[in-house]
Amino acid sequence: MNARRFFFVGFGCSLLLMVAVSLFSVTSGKAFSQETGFEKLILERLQEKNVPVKSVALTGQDLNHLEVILQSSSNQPKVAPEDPAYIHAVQREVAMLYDESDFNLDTIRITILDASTENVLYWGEFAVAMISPLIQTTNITANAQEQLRSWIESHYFDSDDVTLEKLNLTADGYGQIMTLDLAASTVESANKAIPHIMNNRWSLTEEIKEKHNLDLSILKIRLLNKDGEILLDYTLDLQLEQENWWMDDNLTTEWFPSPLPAGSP
Amino acid sequence: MKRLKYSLPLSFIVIMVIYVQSVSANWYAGNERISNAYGFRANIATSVSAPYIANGAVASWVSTPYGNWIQTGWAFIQGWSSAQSYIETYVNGAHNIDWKGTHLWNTTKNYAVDNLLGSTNWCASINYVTYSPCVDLGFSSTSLQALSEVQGSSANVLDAKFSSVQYRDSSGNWHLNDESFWHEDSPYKVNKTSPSLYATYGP
Repeated sequence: MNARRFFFVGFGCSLLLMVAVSLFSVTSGKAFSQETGFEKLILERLQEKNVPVKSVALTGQDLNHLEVILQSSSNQPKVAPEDPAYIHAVQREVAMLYDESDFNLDTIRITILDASTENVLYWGEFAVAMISPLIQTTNITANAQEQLRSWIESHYFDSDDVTLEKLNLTADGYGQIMTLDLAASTVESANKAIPHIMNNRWSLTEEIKEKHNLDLSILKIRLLNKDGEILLDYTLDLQLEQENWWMDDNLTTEWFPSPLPAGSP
Repeated sequence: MKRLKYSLPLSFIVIMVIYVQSVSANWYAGNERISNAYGFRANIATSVSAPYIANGAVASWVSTPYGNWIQTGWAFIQGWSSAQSYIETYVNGAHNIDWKGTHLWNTTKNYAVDNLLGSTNWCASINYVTYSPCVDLGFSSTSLQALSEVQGSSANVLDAKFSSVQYRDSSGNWHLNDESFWHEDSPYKVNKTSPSLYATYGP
């Protein structure tokens, strides 16, 4: 009788131990797999987009903060022209991966170091954006792209100060991306035309949808001067409802809200 | 002859003023707190209905000053049917605007920018809810602005009300703004009741 009781107590204890060990393995394994899986995937995706990632790490007690460190090509106290587009790329890639998986993530912290990696040029914390692949992508022939380029030029460019050199359509799986390459001889001539072009950036995307049946998710605008120097590198993400850009210090601010210098008359 | 002597330079000045107004494409109206503070907030109301926009936009906001900045408020851009709330940041060359939904006509929202005490990080709130992004501006206190801004054309109609404009002290407590440094870029004006209660309007 004692032997039988001993057997059942022993069996019960072993069973409890097995359940406890299994639960621990599952929970710690999930955390481990979330940590390594997400970090690896986001790193791969950013590298595919040529984003200069220095490190990616999940932090926080619940591993719900993503720390992304980028290395700028700038050795000045100002980010490089392409860096704001990288800030956007990190947020969009994380949003897409978040939509595709069951990772638990709240915030993204983006740090941009200068070329020497000794100085921080930028630090920002963003909530993880929600995104869904709701925009249908369409294949547009080269001829149709040229027609669209001509239509945009005739409807949205009211002078020769800035010209529309090229229109390019691509997709990223969640929507259509339209890139407009603009040219201006100098920043002074750009300043005559840019307020009109940029103030109409929202109506441009709406008219393209209505009149050309093209639902854009991202509008990119790149403006170069005659020497090939970047005057404006701009991204409007209609799905994330955000805009990111870099611009030459002498380019006009007349198309976005901006504060006054302190105590200016 | 004497009258001509004075009237010629006067005419020149008048013409120059008119010319500057026609080419200058940003106009500001509102108040600024010159003393440093750790945050600024205001109830900002939209007009009763959509104002006339000849070209460009109108916006009303609270903000840290030009340099590295964070700003939040509402903007109404030509072609839009409604005003939209936004948070805008600029840090060492990186511009960002996050749009945060509609601000209905004839309604008020509370907009705030404030420092995360003990750091140089700043966040923005709309109706007392903090939204991203938060950014490192490199300073913890600064002068602050609660202004309306018109872009594109001085024919754009401005009609906004600022109430309960408050600054935040180093302990994190909010106080009614008690400093005046008014901005009134003609043809826009400020109807001043106090440094914490005023309306911007024009032309």
